[in-house]
Formats: sequence, structure tokens, C-alpha cells
Amino acid sequence: MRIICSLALLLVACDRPHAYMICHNSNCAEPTDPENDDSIEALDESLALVQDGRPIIDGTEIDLFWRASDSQCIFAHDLASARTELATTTAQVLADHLATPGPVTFGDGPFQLFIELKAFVGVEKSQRHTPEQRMLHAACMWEFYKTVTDAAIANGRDMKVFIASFSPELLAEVIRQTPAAVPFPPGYEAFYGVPRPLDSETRPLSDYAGLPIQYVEMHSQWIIDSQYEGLISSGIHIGFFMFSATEEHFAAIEQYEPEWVNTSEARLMRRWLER
Amino acid sequence: MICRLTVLTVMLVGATASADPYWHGGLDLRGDLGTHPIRIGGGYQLEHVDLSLVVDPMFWTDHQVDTDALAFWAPCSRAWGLLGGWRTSTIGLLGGTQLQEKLIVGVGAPLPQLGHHIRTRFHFELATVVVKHGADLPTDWISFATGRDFIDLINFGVFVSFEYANHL
Repeated sequence: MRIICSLALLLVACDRPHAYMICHNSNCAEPTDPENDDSIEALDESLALVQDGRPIIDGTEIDLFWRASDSQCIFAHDLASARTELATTTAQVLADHLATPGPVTFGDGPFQLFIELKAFVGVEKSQRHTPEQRMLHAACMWEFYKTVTDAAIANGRDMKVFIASFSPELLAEVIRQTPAAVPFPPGYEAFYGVPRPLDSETRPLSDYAGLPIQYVEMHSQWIIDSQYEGLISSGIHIGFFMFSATEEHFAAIEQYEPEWVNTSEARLMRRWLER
Repeated sequence: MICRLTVLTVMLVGATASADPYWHGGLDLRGDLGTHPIRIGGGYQLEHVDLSLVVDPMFWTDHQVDTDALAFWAPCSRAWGLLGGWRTSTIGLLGGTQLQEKLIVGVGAPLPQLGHHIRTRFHFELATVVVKHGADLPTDWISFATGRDFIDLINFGVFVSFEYANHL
């Protein structure tokens, strides 16, 4: 089928894909270094990236991790690295960014904040939340949300907020704790990541039954056409994430045209999107 | 065991000893996203080793070019063989071009002949991006420090070559 499509492409002009570009794990200044994922240093550096006088990204992904060992809500991808800042500190960094004069996105659209609630609480991914830890983690998320969205409102910024997790139980707790006033109603998101047994986190969408999932983020090298078509036909909005962009990712973006791309290489991806 | 190996060796030598060098050229087709799906390849078959260059006529569709230099070794013309080589992918960017250099290793096997001079072969490859460079972006070498460093850089692919082949 792809070869037939390619033959057709030889006869017609090609459209350039349009996608919002999100900073993966708040660490998208090249060269890629996953050890700096979800660090204030990388977040600062990523927010400061510019092209043609505008921010190079349209938003960022923030990972909030509940560390069971000391009951702290931290800004971290995992516990492999010692560099772990509190979620409150990170919220203030974003609030300060939104208070800085000038554009905060490459396009003129709203600042897109993706909050991923990590689904494990220790070094091992098998260490899952207790019900109490889920409550505390969800409460931390809403505190984070309030700090950032208050800053957006105070500074006249428009925002889109997405709340995601590999854990449907955690998302359910977040929804249960939704405050009365939510200035930027969040969209809820699940992931189709690297499949088992390479990674233990991805769970089938059926596990999210009963939750208002509107968005799914897929790893762009592990897409199965039938999954993709099933999501699209269910009205799900689809984005891609990746760690290091290769030709396979670029081809997938051209083929599937995701609504957003969550990348660790902001300059590369922006210059590819704008080529 | 030694006897079996000896017989096998004699059979392989017998099967290939009369093989004359020949040239070949044709299409290189794939369904995965590792390169453009339609490319043009050609090369020279020596006794056991086939050297090929694959070029990319689809560069104008998206400013990307995939060029392979491949070597294929098989003990005889009807046997499975080993594939190795290098792929340079140039990615067109705003204001520059990034090059992604890939090491290719894999296996291949002949498919049923479609005609006297038509040679078809199936290949299964493992392509690893060793380094990304160019376009005034930092040079980025593969690292194995964490899974996130390399999981996107190692990809499997399958391609089939349909080529006209003839003796020199």
C-alpha cells in the first residue's frame, strides 16, 4: 500500500505537515541527553530556544513524579538521576515564563502544557501507587495546575492543558479531585508507547474505560495501522512522541499527520517542519 | 560431522566455482519507513560477494535522500547470505541539511526467479543511526547510557530488490 501511495505521490504535489511542537520531558535543546530530562536547567534552556525571534516550541511536557520514599511530589522522569526538583519549583518557573513579555509559542496559538503523571513511585516501574499516594499525587497536580494557570490568567495568556498518565487509576483520581474552577479545562490523554516486553508501561485503551480520554500520544516508530485507524475513528486526537528523530519518525509524521509532535530535538524538528 | 562439513564445502565450492561476475540494476522496494519506498540500485556480483549502490529518485518529494553502499555475501547463488553496509540519509531542513549515518547489518535470500535475467532478493536489515551531524546542529553520536538514548536509533526493515542481471 505504501508503495502505491508513493507512486501516487510522484504524480501530485506534497503538503507540508503541520503540527504543534512540544518539548519532550522539558528537555529539547540539542544534543539530546535523557539524563537531563525533567530538570530545571533543561527546562530553562528549552524555554529560551528561539527561531526568528520567537520561541521555538509551542509548549512543553512536564513529568510529575510521586516519590514514595519521602512522600514528595517532584519534577522528574524517574529516580535514576539524583537531580530532582519539587513540582512547586517547576510550576513557578513556568509561571515566571508566562509572565515574561513577548510571545511564548512559535505560532500564535495557546501555550500547550502537557502534564504527565508518572505511574510508578520508586526506582522500579513495578512500584505502583497506593490509593493514598494516588490522592496526594493528584492533589499535587492540581496545585501545579493552579500556579501555572493563575500566572497565565494574570498575564493574559491563552493555554491548553493536557493531563496524561500510563496509569488510568491515577487519571481517575485526578478527575475525581477536579476543582470547582478550572480556567483551562484539561484534556485527558493516554499513551501508546514502546510495546511490551520492551517497555512495561503501555496499557490498552480498554483499561481507560470510563475516563474521558480525548487524546492519545503514540510513539511514532511503534504505530500499528489498525490501532491508528481505530483511534481516529473513535474521535481521538493523536500526537507523536519520540526521543531521537530519525527518518522513520519524519516519514511517520508525513504519513499520519499528528496534531502535535513531542520531541527532544526542538531545533531539528522545527527546521524540518518549516523546511 | 567433519565428513558432513567437507561434503557441504565441496558442494558450495562446486556451486559457485563456475559463477562469472555480472552486473545488475533495478528497483529496491520496501514497505517500512526506513527509507523512501522506491529506490534504484545497481552493482557488481563477484564470486561470493555482491557490491551494490542504491540511490534515491524520490528525493524531490520531501528533500530527503537515502543512499546505500551495500555488500552481500552468500556461499552460493541460491543460499541465504549476510548483508552489511552503510546508509547516509540526508534530511532537508530549513537552512541546511542534516546527515544521519547508519550502519546496516542483516541477512538476505533469493526469491524465485521471474525470468532468465531477472534477479529478486529479499533482505532483512537492522539499521542503526551511529551519528547525526550537519545543519549547524550539534553532532549527536549514539549512546547506550539509557534506553532512551538509543531505542529510537535502532530500526528493523525489510526490502526486496528486483533487478536485471547479465554477464559482462
